[in-house]
Amino acid sequence: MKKEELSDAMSYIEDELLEETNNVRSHPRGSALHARRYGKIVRFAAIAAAAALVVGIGYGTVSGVLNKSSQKKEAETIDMQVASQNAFMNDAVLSVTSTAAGAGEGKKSTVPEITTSDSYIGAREGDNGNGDSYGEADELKAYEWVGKSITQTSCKADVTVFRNKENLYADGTWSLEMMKDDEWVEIYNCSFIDNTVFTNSDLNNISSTDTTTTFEQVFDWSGYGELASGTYRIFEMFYTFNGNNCENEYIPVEINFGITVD
Amino acid sequence: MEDEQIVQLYFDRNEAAISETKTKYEKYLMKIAYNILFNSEDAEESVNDTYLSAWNAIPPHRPEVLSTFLGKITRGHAIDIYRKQHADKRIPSEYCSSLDELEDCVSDSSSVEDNLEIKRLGEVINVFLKDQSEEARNLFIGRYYYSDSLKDVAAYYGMTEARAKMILFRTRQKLKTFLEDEGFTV
Repeated sequence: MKKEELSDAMSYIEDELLEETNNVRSHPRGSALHARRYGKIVRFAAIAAAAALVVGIGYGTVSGVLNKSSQKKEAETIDMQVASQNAFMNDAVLSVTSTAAGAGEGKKSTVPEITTSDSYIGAREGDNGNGDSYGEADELKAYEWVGKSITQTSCKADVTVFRNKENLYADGTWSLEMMKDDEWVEIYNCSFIDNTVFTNSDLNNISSTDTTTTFEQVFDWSGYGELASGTYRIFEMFYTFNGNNCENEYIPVEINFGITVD
Repeated sequence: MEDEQIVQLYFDRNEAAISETKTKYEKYLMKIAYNILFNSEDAEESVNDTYLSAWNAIPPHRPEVLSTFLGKITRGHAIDIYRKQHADKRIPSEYCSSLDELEDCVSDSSSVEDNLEIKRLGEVINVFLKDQSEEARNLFIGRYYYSDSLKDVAAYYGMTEARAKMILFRTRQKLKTFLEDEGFTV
């Protein structure tokens, strides 16, 4: 099939669907929601920052870095600010701008470890026609490193599957993807993505009375060397659950996402 | 003027049908044509051809939704012009970009080569789109039918371009699988 043929076939899209899209085109929701969402995210960012500082949870060293700062050993500051916004509060894009002494001078800087312990509660009710449920989380975080290179050593994600039906079995994948300056980093061949397959036995280990289980996978990106300066957006856990009893099931997945930077 | 009244003018063979159509839909049609052709004069030619085609088609045809009826004609005319011109030079239009994105779904190695198959493909696409979320469906139609820019489609829902791009990517992947399941050689 040729792409032109696919395009031609779209002339058969039904009026009802075209009309629906026309309505959205004519009345884009962006401008109306922008302010409201932005407000939410500002609040979220403030809460997240406060939580990280006070509790120091996760793989957290934000507080550690701030201690360094307070000790004035290095002129490092973390300026947490809302860089952009996304559709939902849980998708808040938080920019962590690190300014370190020597930054931009070709000297390898000590980039503070940046910690997040945000949970993404995502669930989609989906059915791909084979009784499979699927879902995908959205953009998790964006980090901006200014004037320096970094080596990203690992990224860790905990996924909690809330089991809501007995005899659920599944094969699945999950993945973590990145964008740099709004360009996908090798998304198409997925070589940047570490996929983990949940085997049947993984899920079968959940007893019928259990409601949750946790899978953990460390994404080791050390082989990719130093990443150039820029804004990196960490995108979505893409997960699928294929198997029986998934049809039309609502499978909440909680993702605890952490990132560590050398 | 209401669409029904405009359509009635066509049925009455009243030339005011053209002017009323122009008043109400010229901007909408120009946007469709321009997205494909990236040239105002050519877009205008497509839109003028649309008025003539509508005049010839109505009657006997009575469009249920005048806007989409006209839009489909404009899109067809614009794509015809695009293909004639594109043989000589690359036209840097949104249509061209969106067409390239559709390469995710196809291999270009075989051809449907049959209008009936194209129609069936269209029907399958309808089934597929109806099964998608409203958001994914509208982004897809906006990008690949109306050839709106990524910025424009992102603005439909006030999302970032990156997010729109991601949703479109996922939808193309799902479409490819769906077409294969439906027996198409992609």
